Amino acid sequence: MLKRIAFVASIVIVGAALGIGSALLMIGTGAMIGRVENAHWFTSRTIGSVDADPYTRALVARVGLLGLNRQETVYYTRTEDDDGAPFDGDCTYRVEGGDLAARWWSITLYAPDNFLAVNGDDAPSIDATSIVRGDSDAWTARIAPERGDAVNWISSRNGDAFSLSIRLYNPEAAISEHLETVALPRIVREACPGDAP
Amino acid sequence: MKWLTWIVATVLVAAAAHLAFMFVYPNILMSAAMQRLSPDGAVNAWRHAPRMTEEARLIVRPSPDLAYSSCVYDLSNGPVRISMAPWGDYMSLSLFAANTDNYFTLNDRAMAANGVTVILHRADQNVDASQAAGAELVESPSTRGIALIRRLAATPERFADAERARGQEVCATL
Repeated sequence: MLKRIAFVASIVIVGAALGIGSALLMIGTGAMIGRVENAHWFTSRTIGSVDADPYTRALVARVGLLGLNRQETVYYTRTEDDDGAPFDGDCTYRVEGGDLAARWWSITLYAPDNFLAVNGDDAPSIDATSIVRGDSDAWTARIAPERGDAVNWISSRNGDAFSLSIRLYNPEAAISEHLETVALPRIVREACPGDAP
Repeated sequence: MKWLTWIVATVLVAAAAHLAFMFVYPNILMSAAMQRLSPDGAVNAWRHAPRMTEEARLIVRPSPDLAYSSCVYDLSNGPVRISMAPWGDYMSLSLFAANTDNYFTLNDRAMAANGVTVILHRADQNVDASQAAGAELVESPSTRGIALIRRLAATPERFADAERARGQEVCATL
């Protein structure tokens, strides 16, 4: 009898551990059915939607709770530069973009804990209302621990392995219907501490 | 044979536990969010968040360019009236079910000049026609959830404007 109880208990304990462990692993690694990639940015067609699959819903609950559906807002996230290297808060990056087909947009930097980096700089984002543009609609911004001579700046101080999110409020069809191909800002690493001079 | 039984049974239990956890996880985080947004347990009342700074720790990935107001709603005692008025820049009212789904959103461009009133109810709750006059009836998939107002306020000056625009919203049981 004891052997039978131990047999069943081992099935339940090991099975539950494997099942919950694998679920947490998938949520932690950002598994998302229907993930859409666009030049190092990624999003999902079903964020916030009642049609979201359980994996997307679980991931959004962890990193994007209270996010809006894509009819209202499209969110893109990225964790790496244009060469595919993970972002580093000690490095300097050049962001190149143009006006995006939305009523309003912003780009915000988040520390690995998914909150704004604690650095006292009060420069966690750039947005359509305050960005300084060039002669055309094009603009550049700097992501770095120090502002230097940058006109548009996002502070990465204490950002460690940070991530970026674009919010596109009231996106035009050019965005919401072409998530994979719409032009999004490029991000080029310019320098890191320790780089050869 | 016994080992084969163990392996098959364990895989089945693991698959069931995996799926069950995936379905429950959003509800757990949403419940925790409702607790954080309403730490005293008060429901059906707007709370206006301060400007999102590096000190904000209530909700992950907040936008520092938006002014948030939230109402944890509870339909246990009947339908809830939610109303708000435009303020001259982007704003939206969004409703979230207990499983995190954003099942309703309305922004300022879709509102009348004097704003919008929503009567939030469950499928099994009737709303009196006189109470629903001029309001939009919205069925909530869950008894509890979160109503959220976003106002675009990208600078301290605009946030101060948003603060002045606050206070007229309603979130209350009928």
